[in-house]
Amino acid sequence: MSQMVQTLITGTLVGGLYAVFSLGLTLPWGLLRVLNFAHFAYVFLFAYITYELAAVHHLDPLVALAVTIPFGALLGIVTQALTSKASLDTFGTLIATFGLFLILQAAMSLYWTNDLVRIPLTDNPYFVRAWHVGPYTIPFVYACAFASAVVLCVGSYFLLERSYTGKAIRAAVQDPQIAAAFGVNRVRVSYLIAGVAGTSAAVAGGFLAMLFALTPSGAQGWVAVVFASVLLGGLGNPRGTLGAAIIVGVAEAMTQRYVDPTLAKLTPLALLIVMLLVRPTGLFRPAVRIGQT
Amino acid sequence: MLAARRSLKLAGIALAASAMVLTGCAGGSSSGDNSSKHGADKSPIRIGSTLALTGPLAPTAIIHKVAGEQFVKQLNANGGLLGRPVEWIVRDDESSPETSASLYERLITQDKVDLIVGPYGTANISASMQVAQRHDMVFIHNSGTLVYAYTYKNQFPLYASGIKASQTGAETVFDAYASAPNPPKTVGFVVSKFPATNYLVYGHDGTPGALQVAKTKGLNVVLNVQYDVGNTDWSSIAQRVKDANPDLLFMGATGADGVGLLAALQQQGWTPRHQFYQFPAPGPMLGAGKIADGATTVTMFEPYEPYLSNTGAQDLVKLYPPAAKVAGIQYTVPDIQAALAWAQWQTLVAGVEGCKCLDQDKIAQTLEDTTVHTVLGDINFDPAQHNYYGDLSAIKQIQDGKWVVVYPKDKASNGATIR
Amino acid sequence: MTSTGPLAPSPLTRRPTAIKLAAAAAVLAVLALLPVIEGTGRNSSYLIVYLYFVFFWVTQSTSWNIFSGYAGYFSFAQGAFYGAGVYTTVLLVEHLHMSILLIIPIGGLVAGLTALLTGLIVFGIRSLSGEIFALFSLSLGLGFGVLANNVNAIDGGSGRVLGQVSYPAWLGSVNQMLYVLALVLAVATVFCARAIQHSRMGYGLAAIRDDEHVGGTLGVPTLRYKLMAFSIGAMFAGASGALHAVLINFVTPDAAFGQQVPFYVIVMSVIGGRRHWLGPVLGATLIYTTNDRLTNLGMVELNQILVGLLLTVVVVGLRAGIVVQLFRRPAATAVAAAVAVLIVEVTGRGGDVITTFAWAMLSGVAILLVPDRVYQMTVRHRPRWWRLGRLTAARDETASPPKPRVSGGLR
Repeated sequence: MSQMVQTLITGTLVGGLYAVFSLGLTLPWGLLRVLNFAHFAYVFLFAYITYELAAVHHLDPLVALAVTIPFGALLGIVTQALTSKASLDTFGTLIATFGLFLILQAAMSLYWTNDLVRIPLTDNPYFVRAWHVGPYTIPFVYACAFASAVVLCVGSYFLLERSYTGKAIRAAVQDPQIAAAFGVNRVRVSYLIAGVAGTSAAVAGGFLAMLFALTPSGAQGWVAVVFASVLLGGLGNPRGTLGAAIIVGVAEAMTQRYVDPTLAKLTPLALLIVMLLVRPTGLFRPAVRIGQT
Repeated sequence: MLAARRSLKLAGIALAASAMVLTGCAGGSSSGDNSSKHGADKSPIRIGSTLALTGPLAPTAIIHKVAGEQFVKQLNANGGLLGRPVEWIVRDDESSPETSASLYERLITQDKVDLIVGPYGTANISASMQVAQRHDMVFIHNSGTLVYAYTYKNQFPLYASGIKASQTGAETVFDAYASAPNPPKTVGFVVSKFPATNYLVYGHDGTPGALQVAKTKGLNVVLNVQYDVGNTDWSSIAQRVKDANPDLLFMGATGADGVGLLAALQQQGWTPRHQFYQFPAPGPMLGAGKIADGATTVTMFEPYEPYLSNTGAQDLVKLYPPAAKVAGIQYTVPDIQAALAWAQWQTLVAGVEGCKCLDQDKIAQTLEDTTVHTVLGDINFDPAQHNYYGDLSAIKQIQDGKWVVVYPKDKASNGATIR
Repeated sequence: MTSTGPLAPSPLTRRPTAIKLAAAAAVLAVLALLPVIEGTGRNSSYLIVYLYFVFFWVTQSTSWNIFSGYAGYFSFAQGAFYGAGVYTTVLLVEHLHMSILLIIPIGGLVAGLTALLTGLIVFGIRSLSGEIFALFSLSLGLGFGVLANNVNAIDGGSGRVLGQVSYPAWLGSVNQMLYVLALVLAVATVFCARAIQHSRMGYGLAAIRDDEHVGGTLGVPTLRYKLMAFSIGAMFAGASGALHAVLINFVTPDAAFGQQVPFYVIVMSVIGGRRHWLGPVLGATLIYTTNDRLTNLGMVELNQILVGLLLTVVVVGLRAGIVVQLFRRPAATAVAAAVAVLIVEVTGRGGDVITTFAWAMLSGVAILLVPDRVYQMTVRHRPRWWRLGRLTAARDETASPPKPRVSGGLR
């Protein structure tokens, strides 16, 4: 029984990491109709930067977040500026950002090589730190990731649903021209969303560096999990993404624990396929109902 | 004429651009065969191979690179091969078998190398061997363990595991542990899907692997879990190991896998009582800290007697450590991996010098007919056993922060025994 | 939009002219005879190996384009079909020792049936949008990989050694056999793509691409065409994969179901042009040749950067791909290529045929990337014998009005 609870705990916390990762993909996709495939490369880029800061310059990885987050926001904004200038449809953005993804991945491979790099324990003491509550272990880094997921996702939710800015954003997505007539500055609003997406990339990258060994081709391994969380959660729906990511995380942890670690990769895929067949709009409501994509 | 000039202008733009790029790429192309100076006996003999210079296998492949470079350097200092200097062309296969095979194809058909040697890693070896077979080239390899698949006539293995590798290797391990002061009664298997480790634990087509052998030896198998090559998340596996609580942790590991698992186990607060790793990178294991104390693995060479008396051992022990240090390798002791590389080159030289030629079939014949003296010992490739010649495995263990050979008794360093 | 563009069905494009047929036949003849000329065994040339890969990628890209390009439904599932072909070979050789000539069609069949079944399930979804289908196809490809990685009957994760595959001896050495069969497959795929493009089904797929609902209302059998295109494309992908297994010879789930094939076919087809059968051919040849030359120099990462850059540039700038632009400036491109070849040969920088060819192609692409305004300015005064270029410019949907000619100058 306690094994099951431990698995639930681990799965939920891992889901937090997935949520942070997925937020940067779902917000631009749902609200700005930009499918930014390069987001995967962004996360790894910030992971590598965190590694560089921690392993080479001996900066505390958590402190490194303070450095990477502003750059993340900036990167998000720049991406948005470029994609909006290119005026592509959603698919076009997918392909164009895919090209960007290839470029970034190769650049990372050039600089950091294909070797697996990991922040040494001496520079990353958080890795082994864990809280022991009764028979249960709560790893420190995962808990931090979960906390930031809650902050980012719930924060985005409040931004979108409760604030005036959020209403402006949703109006701009539903009908840009009328929204503009009402005084919504579409450009600024889009930069805000992109900034949040970029921030989530930086945060996710930071935690990735603290938890895993990095290699440029590792980005591919996250595609299934992230797309599953994004689609299950409803496009552009931050709370939905958090919930969906937790579901994916728990399902994966259960498979790893009770079935087979290598089959764990199949779980998000299976969820994704079932979801696409049964409820393509996701378990949760998408942020904005748009007729035709 | 105006129009034609305009179009020429356009062509001119293209010209200028190509010229700029051309100068940028100056000296890059390697497609020329500069060794075809007819009649010049001093032209270099070109030997091609690939190594996993990047990727998950890199921590071990770098050892092969350094050892190979030192061997070639010494060879050239002593007059080269057949009186000609040797040039070793090594390409990065990025730990990928597909890349390795296609690079060998390039080396043979495009770069037209005279000889080839094998890459590092069973997967890469298995893939490239087929290319060698297609072009009828002698293929001497240092770490291939899929003995059942190596049916090519002209392949010569240096990883002396014997033709029943999965069985004899496992028996060595369990016999060694049976002689320990507190022999293990239960065993937990954590196995990488890497072909070599997979085969050694699960066997193939009638030959049992470690899993079966353990049961035959009376051990209780309490855990059997597989993971993908290049796995980086060890927490769930560590949790399962902790729950199963085996006396002996048998990890079919490559490279830095063991280190990763140990770190995760440390996080969980569980220390193995006995631990065996199949193909670990030796340096990182030492650096894993106190929890790695008592870790064992297979070896076929250590810089102590009786190995030091083997042909070439003195050279290896003298030349490898300083070069390894320069290359940035943490662990500069020449052990099994460096010795395998050295033996590989020794075999190649023996074949070529033996027939005094570069003809692939004659070299193969020479290797089959004569005894080859290497740092691993004297080898008689046995064509009846697909050129395998017996199991030379020994077990070494981390004791007080150093790797020490502990089994069998005649190979143990200073009479050390397994703990 | 498609009724006046360069790809419109018109007398000029529907039936190939005698010149085009002769040219195609000549090229094919050279390619077919190449393995005989180039030798075998240790003396075999790299050219055969290189061309095998070109044929392989041409087959893969064209087969992908039959559905995803013509119908507009981006599929990431190419890996699933290609991998299915690969493992068909592995299993058939291991258990039945079949000849490769038999295995290839079986591999194609397996992949085709998989596509058919998948299509039946997926295309029935009412609210299936392009993105959803793309993701579904992505999961399919990834899912197959995980399955192969875990089901011991297929692979189990440790890889399978293929060993010697039997084939009729008259095909020559292994490399020659691979070359010939790949050539046959490539020709078949491209031929099929061309036939579909100019057929009723091709128009139907184009209608689906433009607006599926409208097309369906107007009587286009969308489900049937989509299923057919999807399955035919998958079939060629599987057949090509079945042959490729011989080359890989040590098959792992990563090699068979990895991201390389699905991603690169998308890149090659998008860059080449998705609306015309020639697009994937050009894209595949260009990308693979550049890849090959850069690998020679050891610049694997630079290659990926260039490919990514090219992809982004083409998607943003040359939205329809290289092939459309090529039809607008055929002469200039040809001249550029010829000039490049001349220069390379004269300066002795070529080294071998492939490098020269690579330079020629890159020069051609450089011409195509020159923006319209600059191009019009520099070739404003075109002499008479380049009328072909004017003809295509006239049919060009985005052609600017004819500029005034300088009077008195030579025409």
